[in-house]
Parts: sequence; structure tokens; C-alpha cells
Amino acid sequence: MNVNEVCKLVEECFELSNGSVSADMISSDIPDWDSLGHFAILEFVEAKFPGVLDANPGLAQASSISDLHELGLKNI
Amino acid sequence: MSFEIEAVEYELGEHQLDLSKIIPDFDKTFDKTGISKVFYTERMTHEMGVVAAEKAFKSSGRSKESIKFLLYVTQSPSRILPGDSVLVHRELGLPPNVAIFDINAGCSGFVQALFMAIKMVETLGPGIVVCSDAYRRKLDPNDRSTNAVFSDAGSAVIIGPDGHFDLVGQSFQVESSKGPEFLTQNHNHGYLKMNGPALWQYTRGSVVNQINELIKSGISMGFETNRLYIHQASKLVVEGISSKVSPKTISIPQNFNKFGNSVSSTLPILIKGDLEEMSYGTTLLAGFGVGIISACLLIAGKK
Repeated sequence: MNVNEVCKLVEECFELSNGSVSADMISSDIPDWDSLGHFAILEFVEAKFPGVLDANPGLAQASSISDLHELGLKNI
Repeated sequence: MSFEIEAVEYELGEHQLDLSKIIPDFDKTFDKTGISKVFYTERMTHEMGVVAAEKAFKSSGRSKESIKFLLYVTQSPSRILPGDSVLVHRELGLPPNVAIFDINAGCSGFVQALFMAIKMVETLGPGIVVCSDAYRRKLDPNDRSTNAVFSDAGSAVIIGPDGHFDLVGQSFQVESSKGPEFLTQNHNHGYLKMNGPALWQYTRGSVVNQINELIKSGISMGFETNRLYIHQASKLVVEGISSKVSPKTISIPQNFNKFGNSVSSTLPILIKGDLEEMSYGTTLLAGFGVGIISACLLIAGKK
């Protein structure tokens, strides 16, 4: 998965409009991405790619789009 | 070593808060937490524990004069020094020849204290474990993740000798390398900050392994775990652990939807109505939280 696909995934997770999330964004830039919102991302990702959380535990500490990419989603 | 759980009582914060009224877009939050109401107190933290302890003395019929030790658990003390165990001792009117200890622990604290109590009852005699936490006054009103889960409450458990329970196993873990950053309060007594996902990831891995290993250890000694009581952190955490525990025949009660996450008191509140059932089977208690510390006990009922 490339970083643009990560942006699309986060848009889908939080039901945001297309193109509203960009690769340079951090969690505080994105509505709903607080600690609870992060759970939503993790669940969303796990539902789409079962086993990804166990294989990439660092995803739990991601706080930006690039973190999500580097800490695990690039491996999908 | 044999012991009795003579009473379990609790005292909630005196005000109930409907979370749907303070958290925007509440349905999405509730989907994760499973918590729609919490309780908060305007009292000093230890006062809830004292009320719970008074209830425990009344329901057990045990005299305060017979108490030989007091273990007091809190991560949100009424004051820094002396420790709040002194306040609790004074307000309960316990006799002077009592060993008192303060345990600075949160969600793992009750299990840690219960372990100590079980060991101490054999040497000293009957004692009481009191837990009390008032996190809500430490929460950033704009932080949805903490406001949506924490609840204020106190609890008390009286432990006596020669009873219906045996401690047949225990397991302790500390993740001190990065754990302290997952739930912190900064030095100027500011707001609590919680890295929920990192904590959740830890529970799904290390805590689940710890629970499953203790279950297996029990089986090897002839004790099949019937009931598992998990610290009621939130729906995500409880269901995440429950889904990975084996075997699937184990009953896993939950009540986070009624009481929220009352920190050190979630397990006493959860077991209060189940003592009779617990005395017929094997029970695992799992407490985990700030630190990250996780403590598990395996208790066999002797009826």
C-alpha cells in the first residue's frame, strides 16, 4: 500500500470527502483522529486486512499518515 | 493457603453523567467504549473508599477491632503525605495495632492488593482491601477518549482466614520500558493523558498471553478456570481480550456499560454479586493498567 492509498483508507474510515486527507497530515489535522478515533482506524484496518495488527504492532502508536504507512501499512 | 472473601462492597461517585449529553457524535464513541454513563464525585477520593468499607463491615458482621491490616489502593490520592491509608484508618476508627499500606496503582491495584492480602491473612489475621479513585477531576474536558470511559468509585473487600478459597496461581508483569508513557499525568498535576491504542495493543498481546498461560498452569494442577474477571477498561479492551482467551467455555462477566471504568474498583464491583458462584469453581482475576502493570490471580473455590 502506498501513502496515497493510506490517505484514502483514512478518508473511508472517518467518512471524509475524497482528497481531504493528505500525506503530510498528522492526527490533529484530521477530524475524529483522537485516541478513540485511532481505535477506529485500527479496527477498520484489521477488518480489511485480518492479521495486520498482530504483524505490525507499531501501528498502535501511529500519529500521522506517514506513521501509518511506515509502521505497517506499507507492508500490505 | 485458604482464605475467605467475607464482604465486597462499593460506593459510586454521587453524580451520574449521561455521556451522550457531553460527547459530540456520541454513537461512534459508544460503539468503541460500550459506556453510556459514568459517575463522578465532589468528595475527596478516599471518602468513597471509606463509605464502601463501612458497608463491608456491616454486611460481613466483622468487627473493626478484629482487623489486623489495611491495604489502600489509589492512583488519585486525596493528599500526598501522609498516604491516604492514614486517612482511611482514622475515618474508619480502626484500632492502632493495624498494619497499613498505600499501594500507588490504578487498574492493576486491586489484584496486587488482593494477592498481598491473601498472603498477609495467614500471618496477621483478617484484613481489608480498600480501593478508591476519582479520575474525573483530572480529565481534560476536551479529551473524548478519557472522558468517555473513566468513572469515580471506591470499593472494599474484607478478607478472613480459613475460608472457601485457595490461591492456586498468580502472574505479574511490568512493561516499564515504554509503559509509563501510555497513561501519564504531568508533574504540575495537569490532565491525564492516555494512549488508548497502545494500551489496547498491549492488552491484546501480553495480557492475553499472561491470562492464557495462567489458565494452562491451572489445568496442569487440576483446576479448570470457569470464570474470568477482566478489568472493565472499556468494551474494546474487554472484548478484545475475551475473543483471544482459551478455552471458549470460560464465562467472562462484564459490566462496563453500567459503571464505566472505575480504575481500581472495576473488579470488586464486578465480583460483588458472584461470590457464591466463585466458591464452586476456579476464578481468574486480571487487572492491568498504568505502568503498564498487569496482575492475575487464580483462585479455586472449595465448595
